[in-house]
Amino acid sequence: MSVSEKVSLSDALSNVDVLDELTLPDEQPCIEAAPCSILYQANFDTNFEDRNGFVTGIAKYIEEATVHANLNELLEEGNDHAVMLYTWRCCSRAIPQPRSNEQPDRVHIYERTVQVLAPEVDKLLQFMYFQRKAIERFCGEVRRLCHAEKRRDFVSEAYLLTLGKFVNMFAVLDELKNMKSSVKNDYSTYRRAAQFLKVMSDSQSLQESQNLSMFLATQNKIRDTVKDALEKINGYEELLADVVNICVHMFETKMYLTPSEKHMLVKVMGFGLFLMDSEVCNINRLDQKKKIRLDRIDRIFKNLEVVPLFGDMQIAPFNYIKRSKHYDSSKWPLSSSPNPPSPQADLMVHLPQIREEHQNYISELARYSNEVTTTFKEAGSDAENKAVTELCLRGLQLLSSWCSVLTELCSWKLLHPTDHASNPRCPPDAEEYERATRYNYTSEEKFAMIEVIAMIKGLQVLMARMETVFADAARRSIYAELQDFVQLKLREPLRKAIKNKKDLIRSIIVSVRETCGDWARGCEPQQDPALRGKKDAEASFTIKVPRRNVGPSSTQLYMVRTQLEALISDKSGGRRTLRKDLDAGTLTQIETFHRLSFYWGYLLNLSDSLQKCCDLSQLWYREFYLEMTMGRKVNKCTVHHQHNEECNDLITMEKRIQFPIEMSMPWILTDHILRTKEPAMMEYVLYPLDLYNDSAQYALTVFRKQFLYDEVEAEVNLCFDQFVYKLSEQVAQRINADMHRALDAAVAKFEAGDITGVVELEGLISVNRLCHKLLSRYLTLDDFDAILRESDHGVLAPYGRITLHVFWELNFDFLPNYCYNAATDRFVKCRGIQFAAGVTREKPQQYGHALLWGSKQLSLAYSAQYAQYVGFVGAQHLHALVRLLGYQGVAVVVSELLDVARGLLHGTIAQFTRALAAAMPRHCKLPRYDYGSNGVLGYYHAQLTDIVQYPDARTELFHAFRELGNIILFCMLLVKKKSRTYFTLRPSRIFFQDPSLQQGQLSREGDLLTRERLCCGLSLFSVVLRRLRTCLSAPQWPAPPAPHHHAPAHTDDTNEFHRLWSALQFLYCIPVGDTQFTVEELFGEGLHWAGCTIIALLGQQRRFEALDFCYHILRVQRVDGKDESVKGIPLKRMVDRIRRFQVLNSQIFGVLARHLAADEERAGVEHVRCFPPPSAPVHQIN
Amino acid sequence: MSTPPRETIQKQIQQDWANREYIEVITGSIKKITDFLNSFDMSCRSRLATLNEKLTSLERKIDYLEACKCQPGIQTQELKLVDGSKPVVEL
Repeated sequence: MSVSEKVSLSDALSNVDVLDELTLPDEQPCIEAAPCSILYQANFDTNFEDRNGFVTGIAKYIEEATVHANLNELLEEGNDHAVMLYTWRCCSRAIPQPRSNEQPDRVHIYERTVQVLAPEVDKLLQFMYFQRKAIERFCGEVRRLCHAEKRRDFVSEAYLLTLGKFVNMFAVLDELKNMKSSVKNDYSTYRRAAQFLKVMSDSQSLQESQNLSMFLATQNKIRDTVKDALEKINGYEELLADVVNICVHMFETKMYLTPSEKHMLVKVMGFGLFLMDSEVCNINRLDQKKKIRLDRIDRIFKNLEVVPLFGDMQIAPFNYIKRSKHYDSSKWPLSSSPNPPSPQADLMVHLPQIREEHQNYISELARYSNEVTTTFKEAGSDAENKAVTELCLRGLQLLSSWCSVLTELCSWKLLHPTDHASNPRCPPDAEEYERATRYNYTSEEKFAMIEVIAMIKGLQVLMARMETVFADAARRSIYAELQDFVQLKLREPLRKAIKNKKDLIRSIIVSVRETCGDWARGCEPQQDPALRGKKDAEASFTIKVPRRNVGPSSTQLYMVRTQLEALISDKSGGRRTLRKDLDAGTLTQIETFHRLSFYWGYLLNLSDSLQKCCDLSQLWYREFYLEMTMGRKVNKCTVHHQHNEECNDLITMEKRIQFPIEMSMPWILTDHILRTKEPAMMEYVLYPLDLYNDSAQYALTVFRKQFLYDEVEAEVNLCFDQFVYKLSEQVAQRINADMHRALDAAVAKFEAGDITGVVELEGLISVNRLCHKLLSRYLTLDDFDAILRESDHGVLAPYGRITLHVFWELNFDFLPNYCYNAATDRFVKCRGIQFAAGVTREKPQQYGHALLWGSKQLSLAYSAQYAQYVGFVGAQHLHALVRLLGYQGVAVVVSELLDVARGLLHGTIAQFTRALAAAMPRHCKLPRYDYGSNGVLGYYHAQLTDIVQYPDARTELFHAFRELGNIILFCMLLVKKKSRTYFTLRPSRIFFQDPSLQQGQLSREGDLLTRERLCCGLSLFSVVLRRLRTCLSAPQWPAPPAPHHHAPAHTDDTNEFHRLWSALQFLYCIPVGDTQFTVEELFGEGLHWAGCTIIALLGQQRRFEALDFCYHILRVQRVDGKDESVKGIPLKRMVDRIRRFQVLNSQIFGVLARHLAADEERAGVEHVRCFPPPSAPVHQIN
Repeated sequence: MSTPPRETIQKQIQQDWANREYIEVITGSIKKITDFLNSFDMSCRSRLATLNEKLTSLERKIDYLEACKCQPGIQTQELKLVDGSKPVVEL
């Protein structure tokens, strides 16, 4: 749209309306105060600037409006001075002082001091002038109103209230001036420098300087000046009594909106009575004359013992009474006794009511806001608008009353700091401000405060969202009420006044009508019979009152209300009151209108009122306390003991320019939630932080002080860092890290134990996986497998901790110490002699139950369950191993094991083989059956005597073979499990997938499975075998030189491996005594697997079976059935053992043959086995 | 200064009502625009926060994958095992 293009108003307005239709989801839960990047507030208060437009109004009230305008300006100026004093920070402490008169740069220092302080001192001078002017003006007004002629005349409510505001202003300024010692110090610093430099040369400025110095130094100067000046005015006390009475009336009928207005009323009562009580006037006597009602004020002062004076300065209004001349405690039965304590000190008594009010109002508001959003209306009916306006006003009043309760509690607490005696948590050397804030609230009080703050801020958000609706309804409703009243309801009294010739009443009513009448035709209908004092002819005359979306201007509202007040006032300057000339119905109507219209100003300025009703900024400000503590050094006692005045352990800390956040109310409350971790309060955690928003807003718009804003901002930043740090322990961001730690703990636990722990490790990992899965529904977490690999240290290193530990355990514990038993399909730890060095593992790090199984009970239960898997390695362990290690891990472990096997074959086993081969007889025949089995046994025993007596055979040698056998067995079982694992896992995955899965995809998955099985399952063990075979060749392996091709096999030669193994088999077939360990017990079947595998791989299986010594004995014994002891060997028992091992050997050979055959069969035909597993995604344990 | 006739003043006051109504309408519209901008701001912040969260998570994933890629060990292990045949699958 180009700039020059013209847009009509209706287009522009509809453009704005269209904005409503854009949906802007923010997905933010409603847990914080109104976030507001742009603040827009229009203020239409003209401060009576337009008063001259209403020339038809009564001149007296237009004049009064002029006075009002001037007084308001003075009040505003007074507020600026109050802000100036309150936010004054000491400058002189930062200014270097010349140490002696000889110091060469002292002139320079003084010059700069004057230069720096001059603008500040000028503010003080202006302040002094202002208070003079204000006192003069105030007393002038009082004098004018107390003049004998005017004494009996009616003074409007607005006028009295403005005078009350002056009284309040004097009280505030006086207290601020008394309190601020830094102002005085700065001024004396300036004065010293100025006198030295002779800046003030003329007598007038010297005099002013003297005056200012006196003004600043004299305590209660303003108060006393006002009092002295007033006492000279005749009858001033009656006017002040009117002021006090109007305050009491407004307080009791809740004619105020914001908390500060409420507190102002109370302060005026106190200070007003103080000003009244003097030599010439005794308030107790006024009470007797019913001019004032002390009993009512007494009750108010008891209910509000302490009110905020300015910022964090508090005042007890009753103290003014106590200081007055004719104080009589019997007149003040409630306030003068300390018991019972004021209800303002106890938040808990207010809480149930606040909760109920909140609940009711919120539900009503929700019902209405639903109505608004579902039904679109241009403008509601009068009745609807009125209802909405009332709803809005009620909301504002509720917010204000809750805010009052909070601020009054804080005020009371600030004036009643705790100490060590009443609160043991408070250390004896706690600072002043700490005692007023940090240690001054109980846990329940803090929770209650948080709840009330949350209610205030929460309702503020809701009301702010509906602000345009509320403001619209309020304007329409107010317009309608005003115009109906002026144009219709005032006709009747006007008619009567004209008829009865009551000119004063007539002129007032006419003036009201002309001041604000918005006539349909532009002016009052002249044909209206009421204007002639006549009755309406039947149905002949009607007035159509227009409707608009605008309220009266501030001046109009003032004029209407004040003029109507004149009609109903019971005071009227000596004449009889006008009330008598009005009938009761009219009086009631006017009174009702007057009462209701009081709140119109607030409603017409809704956004400002809403903000003021929710303003809790003063909970943060602490200039008063800073002023108090800054002059002093902060002392801290380093030793814990009963502290006293003569303590020598005090160290002086640095002087502070701000208090730490631990003493700051917003942070105290936020921290309280985080510390107690009360789940119900957690959702309120952001509301107390919003107090900083209020304070910063106040610093920007009211105090207008950059340094205060900066301090608030700095504190927020600090608090927010703390907040995030503390909160993160409890929510999402830490979950990833916790997940890491939990997996880390699981792996570490595994690392601290033997290989059997692998089952528990898998259990722990699957628990964590489930946890991760459940959490992932709500949180964005890292991929579980990624976390697992990271905890396993498997991202940057080729093998993870699990793989490494598995291998370590296999190498140092499993291979040397476990015995295999085919019957149970388990490896069991050897109970007899340990051949390997004992295994020492790292001490397990202690982890909390939370990181492992969750709780102590669960940990106990699970460790009982997993205890069943300790002590053996079986199918479960191998399954778990395969699942945990995956393709890569299994491959790594197997290949590492192969390396170990090669080491064994080429090292220990080769050595022993060579040594034993040397000990073997050159030839060893198969003796003929004729010798009988006993003869055969005897023969072999004699032949093999060197071997039988070889000392290391039964120990080191067998041990080495056992290790090799375990490797082979482990590889075989692992590979078997692996293929089965994949084979069983994969289909389940297919079937659980989407039923609409295409047939082709299914078959492809199936194909994948088969290939996988072929590659990984069957062929892997063949690969192992093949690799072992390559190791069994010269020169590392002591193979005999290849025989000549055609040379006949020498069956008696003993240089081949199978002959050696036959010798060893002979050795372990010899039965042992009852007390000795058998070979099976010590080494398990690994021994036989090792021997048979080597034989099979060397292709000597047939020769072994044909020529083996033991088999020969067995065969012969089968024939002759002899049983006798040969050289101490029981023949029958030996034969039984041989038979058992023969069966075992042939089983082993069978298995090996199958693998070797499968391998050879596929060799060269299929290349499938050459490929690593197809690109199936890494499997998952469900 | 002579007082203008009654009707003129009444008409002026009526005009004042009309003018002020106009100002109220404009003010109300500015208020609506302000509200819109505020909720637009909130909405954008919320969406950006969601986006940021997603990006952070992706960045972490990339870090992880990069770390995985830098690691040479696994492929060679697989190679060794399958007897020198070339790996076909990328890890």
